[in-house]
Amino acid sequence: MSKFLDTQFSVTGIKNFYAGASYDQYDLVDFQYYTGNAIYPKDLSGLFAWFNLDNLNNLEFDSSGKISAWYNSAPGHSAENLYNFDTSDNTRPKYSQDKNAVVFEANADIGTLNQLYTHPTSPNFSGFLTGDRCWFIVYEFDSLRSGNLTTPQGYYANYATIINTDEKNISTASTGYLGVYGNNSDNIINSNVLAKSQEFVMDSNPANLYPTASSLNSAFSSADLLNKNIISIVKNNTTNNLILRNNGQEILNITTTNFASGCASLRIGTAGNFHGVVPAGAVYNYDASNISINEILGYSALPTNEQITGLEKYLFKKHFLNSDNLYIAKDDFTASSYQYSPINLTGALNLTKDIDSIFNKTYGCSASFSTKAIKANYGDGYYTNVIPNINNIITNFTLSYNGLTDKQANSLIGFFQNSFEYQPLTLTSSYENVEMGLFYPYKDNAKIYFENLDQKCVDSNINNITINCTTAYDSSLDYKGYLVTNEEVIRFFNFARVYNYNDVVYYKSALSEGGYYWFTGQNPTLVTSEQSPTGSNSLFTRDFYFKPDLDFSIPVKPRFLKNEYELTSVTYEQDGINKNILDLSLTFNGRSDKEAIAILKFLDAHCGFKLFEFILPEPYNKNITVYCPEWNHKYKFKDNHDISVKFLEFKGKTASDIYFNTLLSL
Amino acid sequence: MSKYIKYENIDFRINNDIFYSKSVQLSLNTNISPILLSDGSLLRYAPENTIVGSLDTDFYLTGSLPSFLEPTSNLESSIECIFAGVKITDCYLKSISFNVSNFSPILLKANFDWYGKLNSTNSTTDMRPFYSNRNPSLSEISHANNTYLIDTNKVFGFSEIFNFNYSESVDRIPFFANDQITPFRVAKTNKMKSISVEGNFPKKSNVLEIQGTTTNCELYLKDYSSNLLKTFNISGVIESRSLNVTTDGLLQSSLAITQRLAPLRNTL
Repeated sequence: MSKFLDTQFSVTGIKNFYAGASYDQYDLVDFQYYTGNAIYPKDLSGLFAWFNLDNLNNLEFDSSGKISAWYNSAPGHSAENLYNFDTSDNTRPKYSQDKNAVVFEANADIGTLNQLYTHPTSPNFSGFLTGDRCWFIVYEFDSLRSGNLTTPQGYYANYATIINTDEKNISTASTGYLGVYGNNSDNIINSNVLAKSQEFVMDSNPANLYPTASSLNSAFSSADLLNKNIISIVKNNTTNNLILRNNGQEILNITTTNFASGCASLRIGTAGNFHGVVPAGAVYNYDASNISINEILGYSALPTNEQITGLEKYLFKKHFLNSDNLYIAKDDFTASSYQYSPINLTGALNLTKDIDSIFNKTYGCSASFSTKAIKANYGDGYYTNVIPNINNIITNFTLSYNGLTDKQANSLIGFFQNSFEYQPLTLTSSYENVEMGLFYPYKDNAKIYFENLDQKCVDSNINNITINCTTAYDSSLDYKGYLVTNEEVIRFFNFARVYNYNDVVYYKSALSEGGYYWFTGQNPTLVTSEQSPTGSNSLFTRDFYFKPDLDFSIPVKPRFLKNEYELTSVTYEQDGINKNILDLSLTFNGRSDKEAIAILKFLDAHCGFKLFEFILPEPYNKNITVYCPEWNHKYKFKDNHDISVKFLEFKGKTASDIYFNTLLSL
Repeated sequence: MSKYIKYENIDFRINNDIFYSKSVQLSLNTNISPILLSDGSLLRYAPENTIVGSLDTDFYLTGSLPSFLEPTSNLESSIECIFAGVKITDCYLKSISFNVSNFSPILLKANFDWYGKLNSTNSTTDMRPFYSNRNPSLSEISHANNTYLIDTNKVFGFSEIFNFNYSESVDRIPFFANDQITPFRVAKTNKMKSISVEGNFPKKSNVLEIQGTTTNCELYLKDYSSNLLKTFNISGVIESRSLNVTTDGLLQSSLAITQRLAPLRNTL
């Protein structure tokens, strides 16, 4: 049964994910990390190690903010903690608030190797760990780099530690060790497994990897280890059966003496590997990669399969926010195993939450912008704009998805409605935004909130859907601008570059002359100093030089006072100076990509309130100062954009009204 | 110096099957509009839509009518046409029609929209031996000799049918992803079948209802040797009738039947 309330959807047909089921393209698939209940760690007997970050008091920080101890939350084992006694501070890990993880850095070149470990003398876990055991670890590698320490042999994968429970609590890989060989990273590609799948290793001697790798080193991860992962190690100390699971998928089931009696300590971090000289001819390296650890659970017990999945589900729900959610099938497939869950590499090929990868936005997408500026009138046509907050532009996007089949429309509507169910990542919102691309020339990684959806049936099996949405967290304080931040319009001015008409450059200067300029030279030009943005014969401008469409109209409404006294004639009186304040709307239809992005960049850079110069077309032909509080843009067809703007004339401009430098250089 | 006729490899192929075509016409249309600026100057001609091509052909059918030449089917995907060294990969069938009259071979007319680019090769240097999977012996073509029409409900009123004209058509709506000029989908809409029949004097009094007279017809398209090429069914209404005579002709009447196809959404 789906975990979703049926009442929150207007569509039907949501399927549950489970191994063995078949799915059709565009199916809505409700993924849960198993459908059973999660098990709270303390509810399962045998808990001897529980290192979590539910409370920062579980960490001990030194004076420089590094971690010197990670306290055990397992009941009855409060003295069995992880420490780092290196007072020189070089090997202590850090805490990352973004990841809510302990971050262990490693760089063999500069000798950075972070670690935490059980007390070298007493007490550690050795007193009670003689039987069955299991470990559950939530972690992610920051990198799985390869190295060339074995020069001249060339590049080889590095050993990178996940956990080391060796009996002697030593820093070398031993019989209670689990790490990653990184055997599918840069320069070392294993074409037999999916890209991003990495090889797990338990062999204490990496020299045993090749030429005949033992079964200890035969498992490849089912997930991308550069994302957050759950690893479960379950060891039966009687039969010596060891099961290794990665994100719910069993990837290894062998008989081994590894993780056996005596492996009673715990060392985590990047120094679990020996960093000595690698023997000549070796096909490995010892330059561990950075790793972040979120949580560790250890039991002196052999849990049932239901208990294993229950504990994994507890960790999953805690650390994989919004991963148990609604996905869309990218193609027809049968989930023959749990490898097809969307948190695993195989499943990610078939299930997605990235609607950009399966739905086409179509022509007709549009954007509208308006400023929140509050107009304060001073009389005589003078006024100023008060900006109430730093992000003063209200933006609304209309995304068109035309030509959808009924199945596709069902899927998109379901995705839209489910977006309101995402758990928030911040305290300020009660549900999370959707990260997706907009359309040319706007950001392709915008964080948007859907607002409403309009579905129109064109014919049987032909649907047009438009989604209105806003971007909530964009700021115009960055010099790059608000939403038009393509590389082509944020480049710094460069004398070595040939400029074409409508090119946009950012001229770096601490003075008011710094900022965006638009190239108005008619021919491609390698500009001289005189032609540069601040040159005496500059080919660049900061004025609004774009010409509107021919069919424009400009209403002229002079301000005056009209008094109508009872039983007398009407009297007309003057209302001070600056009577003719123009309020005009202009269109720029059918503009090319190049001109459209130049216009939109101009408007984007002026944030809805900054002043600029504009020459009114004939028959006025006068240079006036205006600002643009509202503009609209429609992507009509390839290389064809319609833009409409509203300009308000401004009297009494001062230089400080125009320029505000937002480029911070260090 | 004399110039010689150059022989071109102009066999017409649809999805790599040769069709015995009498004519093929290709045309292209841009959708552009001039953009005039406030100073009176012309900025550019802006593309309002993609370049849409039209391909018309008529051909004698040899062998059964392939499914990709059924306009009202649920199949929306593109087909490939090759003619005189020109290959068009994104052709979309819009209509097919033919006229059946006594003692005449039947020429089928097909009309396509197409998008995207032409791939052109030098047809004089790309000469290929004639080969077709369809009726390679060239022995049979669609012919009126054995082709016939059944008025299942017996509403025509004719005792003789002189000729009839059958057509199937759809409107095609292209949908373009942003930044693209070739459509990701060319949907079918307004699926229609129609047939007009000419016969002798209709021996019926109540010849037309205000909402049309319901009729069912079966059309058996055959070649000269009576091999069945395709059966067409039309379940529509008679929407018009006429009776006419000329000094140099016969007294004859005609009727037109039309059917708007309305497939259930859950069957698509």
